Amino acid sequence: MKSKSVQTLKGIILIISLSLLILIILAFLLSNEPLKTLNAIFLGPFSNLYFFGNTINSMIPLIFGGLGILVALRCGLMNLGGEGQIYAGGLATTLVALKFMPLGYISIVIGLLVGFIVAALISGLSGVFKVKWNTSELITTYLVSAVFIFITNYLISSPFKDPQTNLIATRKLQYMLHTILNPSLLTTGIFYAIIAVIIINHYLNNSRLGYANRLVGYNKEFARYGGISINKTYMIAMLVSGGLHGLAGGFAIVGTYGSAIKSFSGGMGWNSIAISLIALNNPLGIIPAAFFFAWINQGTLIAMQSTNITSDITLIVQSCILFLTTSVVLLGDNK
Amino acid sequence: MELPAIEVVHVSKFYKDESIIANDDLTLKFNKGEITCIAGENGAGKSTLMKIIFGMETPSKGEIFVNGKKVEITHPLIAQALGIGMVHQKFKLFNNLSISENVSLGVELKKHFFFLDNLKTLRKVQELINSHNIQLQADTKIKDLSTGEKQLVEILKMLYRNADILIFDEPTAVLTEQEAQQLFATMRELKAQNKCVIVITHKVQEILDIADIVSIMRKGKLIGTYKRSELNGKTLSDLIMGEEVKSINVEKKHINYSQLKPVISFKDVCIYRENQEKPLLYNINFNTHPGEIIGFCGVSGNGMGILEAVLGGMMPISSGHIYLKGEEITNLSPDKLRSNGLAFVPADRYQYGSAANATLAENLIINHRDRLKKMNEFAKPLIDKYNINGMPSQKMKTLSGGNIQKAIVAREIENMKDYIILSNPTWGMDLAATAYIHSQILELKEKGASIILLSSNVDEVLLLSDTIDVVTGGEIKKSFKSSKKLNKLLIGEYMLGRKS
Amino acid sequence: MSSIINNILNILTPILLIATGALITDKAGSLNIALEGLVTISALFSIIGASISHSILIGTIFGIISAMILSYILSTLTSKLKANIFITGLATNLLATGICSIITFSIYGTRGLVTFKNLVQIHKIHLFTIDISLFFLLAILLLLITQVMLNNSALGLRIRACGEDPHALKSYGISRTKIKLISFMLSGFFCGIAGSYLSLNLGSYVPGISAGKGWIGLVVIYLAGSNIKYLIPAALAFAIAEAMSIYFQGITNLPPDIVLAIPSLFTLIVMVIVSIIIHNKNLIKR
Repeated sequence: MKSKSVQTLKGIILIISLSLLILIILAFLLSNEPLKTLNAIFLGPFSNLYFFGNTINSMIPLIFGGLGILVALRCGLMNLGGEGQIYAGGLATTLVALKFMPLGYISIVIGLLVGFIVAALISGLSGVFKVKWNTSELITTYLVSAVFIFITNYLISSPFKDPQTNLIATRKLQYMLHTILNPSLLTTGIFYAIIAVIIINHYLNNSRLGYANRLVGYNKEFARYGGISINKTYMIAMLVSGGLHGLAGGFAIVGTYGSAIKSFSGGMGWNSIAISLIALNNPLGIIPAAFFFAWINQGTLIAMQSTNITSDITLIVQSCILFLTTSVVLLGDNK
Repeated sequence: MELPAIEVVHVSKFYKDESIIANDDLTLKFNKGEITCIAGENGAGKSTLMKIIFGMETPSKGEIFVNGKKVEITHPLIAQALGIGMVHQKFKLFNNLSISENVSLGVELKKHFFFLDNLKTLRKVQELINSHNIQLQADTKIKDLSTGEKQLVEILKMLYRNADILIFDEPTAVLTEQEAQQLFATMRELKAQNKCVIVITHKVQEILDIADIVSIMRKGKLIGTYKRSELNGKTLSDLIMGEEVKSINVEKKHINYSQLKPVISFKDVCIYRENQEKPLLYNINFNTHPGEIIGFCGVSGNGMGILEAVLGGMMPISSGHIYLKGEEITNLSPDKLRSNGLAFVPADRYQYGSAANATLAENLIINHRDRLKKMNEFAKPLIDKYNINGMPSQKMKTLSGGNIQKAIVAREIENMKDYIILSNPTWGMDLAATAYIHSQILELKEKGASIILLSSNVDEVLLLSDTIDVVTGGEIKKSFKSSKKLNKLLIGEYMLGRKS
Repeated sequence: MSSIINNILNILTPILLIATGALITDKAGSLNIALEGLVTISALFSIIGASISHSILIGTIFGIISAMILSYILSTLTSKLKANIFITGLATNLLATGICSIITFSIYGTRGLVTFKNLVQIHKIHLFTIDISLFFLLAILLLLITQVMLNNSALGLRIRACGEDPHALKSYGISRTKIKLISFMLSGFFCGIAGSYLSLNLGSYVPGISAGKGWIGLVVIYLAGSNIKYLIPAALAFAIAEAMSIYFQGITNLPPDIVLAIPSLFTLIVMVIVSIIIHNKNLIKR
């Protein structure tokens, strides 16, 4: 047992080192000043409190999204609709929080709640298709999400656009989460993210619903035979998965952006999948995995500001991480 | 004297730095024109030896000679090229392809470089079929064949590749008595054609029926090689087990169970299919009673699996009623049935009976989810009581097949209220484990449980049941009360639908 | 009217190519969700190739090679690392987007639209008022060849066997990895041609040029019940729907974002309807 976890750990280290190596190679290929670029990518996030706070701050939606994927994966489901769920959940949070602005900070809570519900319903739709007609959730989550991305785009750019700004965005919230590491963008959201990790960890490992969730993921025929309702379990998993994505979007708004800006969530959904995989389906692993992603993303952003590199190299690094993290060979989990 | 077809000399196989010895210094000869049985309990190392010969495992030590020449068999392809063929326990056939496509796959006949020469292949395969007196059409799809016929296709596959050394791994595990007899006839014919036939088995009767030479293995070692004439049933099973076999004694009290209140009742249960085809189940009627073992037997594909699924709540019925102690339980979902005390050991212990990646404790607690918080405390006593060799936090897939089945039986007996369904409970298990499960079943009977036993193993049904129902074509064709006059062949005739 | 038919053919061509390629992987037992990425990378490379060589043919070959290299990487990495094909498929889509952005950024200094002047036009046959491109004819021809390949060649037999039970193949001395690799390479080949058509026909490369066609390709296979005979009608249904949405965009005032959502919405609805039909069929069967 022990040797296997050591091997798994070795695998993770190998995956991370390989990804970093690819990043280094890319920097040398694509940058005029590769050393400066690499310095910015790797050390930039730690060079001052501002960058460091921003790095931690960008972990927040990734943690929520990663948890969302994890709940679905542990039930044997795939949620490829994270992008749309985060985006629509974020917009719903913004609109509701704007509506309830007179209530002060309560408006944030109501907004997040509605964001959770809206995103849960979006992924729940794929859940209904799956449960009623056995439609592959892999494809429907993606398609439903694609539809909602366009609808959200439309809502942000037309009916709810704030005429007073040049950005394509809604009006700004007056009440947002408190920042904790000025002048960086970091907010108290990070605490809520960590609490979410603890709750989901408890939910999956110690609750009856979590047990059903896991057992259906291990072997759904066995779960059904043992008296677990697969349809109910699937529905709950899809709702929770979507809801967590909604919170990812919602926290990005009430923490960082302050208003729903067009395409603010770009890439968060795909990153969530990678994070959940690096975390090896363990909720507690989401935190370090999200940190790793936040670090590379923030580093690339810093590098982009100071050198001539495009932030798209993170796409390549992320895809390499995705490739490597599902490797049974590297993680040593045979069979 | 003719050279042996295949000879293994001082072959050993270790796993994990010599800590597990699967084969310990084996030296064996297999001759042409003979049927050699390798006999032994599960885990005796028979299959490992055959995998070494077939190139699926490489030996840690030792040498192999084929027709007197030293060979290194590192891949099944090399084995095939040397004329070695193997019929696996689980058939490796493609249901949607025809017999000729299955037989020729990998060694296809082509024309114009690219196209398949279907006609020529069909002709060649049909000639092969005819030359072995087998009743098959080469263009039939595999899915339309019976289990016994599928096994014949496996043999054809080997013959098409010109195999001279034919290995059978537990070939009768899935066959009826009649199908087994037909297979033995084919084996004898192969023997007459001077092929070297090797059969892995733990069934004593089967060895006595077909073997010329018997090699007995126990715990990785070769105990000895005997001529058939030197052995009888008693000496053979003693040699295999290594000690006196405690065969269980089943005393059947002739109680008139029908006076008792029924536990499970089926009334005119039917499952229809689309477009007026033959129904999957038709007018199934029976009652089970406390302390009674009711045994169902049938050939696969005749409704046994469907009946099992209905009993477990995994499949809805089209018409009819099912009652539990007078209360209707028709088409209740598994979770409702569970709360009514359903206990059910399914035939497929890997697909339905357990979750390979979950822990032993997680597998054991599925019927008692209210006690999740103290999962390990729940699992511990069960593990001790049923002698399961495993830890609560151990992944199910790391347990042996026998221990997985023990865990399933333990879990289901613990959940039992009035009745238990056992489907092929000893399939693939050796004599010792089979005896253990049988003793558990009889203990339940003593306690007054109503037991429904579904099995393709007629011996088992005959041994244990008070009532025996033969299921053919989705119907109960014949119902017997247990008596000394009943025998395997008679039941087999009904199972195959030759008598009705 | 003829403009609508031209539009339909224009949309049908890439969808048909993608679906034919994906059908081969489907028959071999894999769901190839990297189609988007394969189309995208080919779209960029074929237009680069065509602008260098001033030849549609060479541009197309560039595109095919790039998509086949990517599918080789996908298939080999997946089997070597024993990785999950869904995730590696997603990764391939990300990788393709990343590579394309980096290339356009490094060479042309933009992450958006790249237009090429003096590009050669795709040959079209004028039939009355309808333009039939050589790519469309090629797509039909390749579809027929694929049908013959699947049903009447040793490779096709092995692909079908692989799809039914990949683990059993080993005992026949056939490498499952090799069959899967071949099916993915062929899928890459078809996506390569589709990508070439998209960018060469448009005369430029835009990010997201495949616009969900990879996903549509998968749903087309689903709609056709994995039966090559029904591939054309299934693909045609999507092409008509998309052409209609373009048409209605022209005559109504629907916001562009909503119009963009229509293909995904339509794909979704078809997917759900088909699964309802299949589900009900299975219900009766039981």
